[in-house]
Amino acid sequence: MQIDWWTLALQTINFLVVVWLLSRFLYRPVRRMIEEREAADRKAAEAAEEKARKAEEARADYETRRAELDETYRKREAELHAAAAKERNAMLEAAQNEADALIAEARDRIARERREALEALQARIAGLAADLAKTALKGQAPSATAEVERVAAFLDGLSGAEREELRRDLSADRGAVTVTTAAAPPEDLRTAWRAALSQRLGDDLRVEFIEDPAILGGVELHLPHGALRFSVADRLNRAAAAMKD
Amino acid sequence: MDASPLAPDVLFMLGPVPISRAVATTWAIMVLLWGVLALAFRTGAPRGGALQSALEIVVTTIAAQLREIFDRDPWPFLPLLGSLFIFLVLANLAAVVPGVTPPTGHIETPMALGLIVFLSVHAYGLRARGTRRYLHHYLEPTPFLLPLNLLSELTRIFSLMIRLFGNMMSHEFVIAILALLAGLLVPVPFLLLGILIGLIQAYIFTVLATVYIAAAVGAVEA
Repeated sequence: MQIDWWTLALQTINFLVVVWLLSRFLYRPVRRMIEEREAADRKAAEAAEEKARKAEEARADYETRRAELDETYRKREAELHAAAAKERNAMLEAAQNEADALIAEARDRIARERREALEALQARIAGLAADLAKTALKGQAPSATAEVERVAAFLDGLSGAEREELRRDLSADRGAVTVTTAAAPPEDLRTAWRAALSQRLGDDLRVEFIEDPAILGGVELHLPHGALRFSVADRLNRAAAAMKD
Repeated sequence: MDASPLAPDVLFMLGPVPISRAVATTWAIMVLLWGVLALAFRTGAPRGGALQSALEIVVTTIAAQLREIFDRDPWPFLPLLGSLFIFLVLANLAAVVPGVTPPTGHIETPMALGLIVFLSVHAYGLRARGTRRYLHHYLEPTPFLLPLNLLSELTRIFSLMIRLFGNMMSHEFVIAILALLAGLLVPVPFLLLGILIGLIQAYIFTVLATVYIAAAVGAVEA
C-alpha cells in the first residue's frame, strides 16, 4: 500500500477548510439564530411573566377592593340594623307611652264615671229611702189609741160577707186574735183593743197580745188563717216590693 | 489490472502536485457544501426556509449529542466534531453516486482525519487542563503505565483510521467485484447497505473522536 503524502496534505488542508466553511456558514449562523430565538423567547417569556405579574397584581387589587367593599357593606348593614332597631325601640316606646296614656285616661274616666254613678246612685238611694220613709210613715196613726180607732174603722169598712168570713175563721177551733205591737201596750190600751175587736168580731172573742219590735210600729192582727197588717214593717215591705216591680 | 487498487488514483497534476480522485471528490463535496449553505442561509432571517430548518435540526442534534457526551457547552467542540461527522457522511455517501469513489476509501483521507483528531485531542486537552495537569494524566493511574498510555494514544488513532478506511475500502471492493461478476443491477442492494455502512462509520468515527477529546478535557474517562 502506497501513501500519497501530497494527497494526505491536501486532504488535511481540505478538511480544515471544511471546518472553516461549516463554522463560518453553518454553525455560526445557526448559533446566532438560536441565540436570537432564545433571546426572543426569553423576552416573550419575560413579557408574559410581566403580564402575569400585572394580572396577579390586578387580581390582588381586585380582591382587596372586594374585601373593602364587603367590609363597607357589613358596616353599613350593621349601621342600618342598629338604626332600625333604635327606630323600632323608639316606636315601641312611643306606642307603649301612648298605650299607657290611653289606659291611664281610660282608668281616670272609668273612676270618674264610677264616682259619678256612685254619687247618682247614692242620691237615688237617698231619694228612695226618703220615699220609703214617707210611704212607711204615711199611714202611721198619731197615737196608740188612734191606732185602735183606725183598725176599728177598717173593720167597720168591711162588707158584711167579709166580716162574716172573719168571724167564721175565728169561731173554728175557738180561735183567737193576736194583737202584735212594737211595744207592750198598757192595760187600758189592751182593754180598748178587746172592746173594739169584740164589738166587731164577736163577744166571745179571745184577744192575745204579743210584743214584736220587728214590726217597727203600728199593729198587726193575726187570725188563725190570716192577718191584718197595719204595721210600719208591712208598709215598708210593700213599698220595697213595689220598687222592685 | 496490474496497478494496485490501493494505489493513489491521480487524476491530473497541478504543477508538481498530483491531484488524486479523493482530493477532487473532496473539493466537489466542499463546493456542494458551500452551495447548500449559501442557499440555505441566503436570507439570514432567524426563521428561514425548509433547508435552513433542516440544517438547524442537524446542527442542534449534533450539539445535543455532544452535550450528552461532554456534559458541558458543546459549541467549542462543534466546529471540529460536527464538521467531522458532516464531512464523513458526505464523503461516505459519495459512493452511491455512479463513477464516484468515496475519499474515505483511500488511506490518505482517514489518515488526514486521524491526524487532525490526534492533534485536536492534545490541543483541547492542553487548553482545558493546562500543560502540567494534561501531561500528568499519562502517569495515571501509575507511572508504570506511561508507555502503554503513550502507545494507546497512537493505537487508538490508528484503529480509528484503519476502521474507517477498511470498511469503506472493502465496501468499494465488494461493489466492484459484484458489478464485475453479476452485472449492473445486482450491486444495488449493496449500495443501499453502503449508505447504512457510511452513516454508521461516520457516527462511529465522530463518537470515538468525541470520546477521545472528552477524555482529554476531563469530561469522561477514556
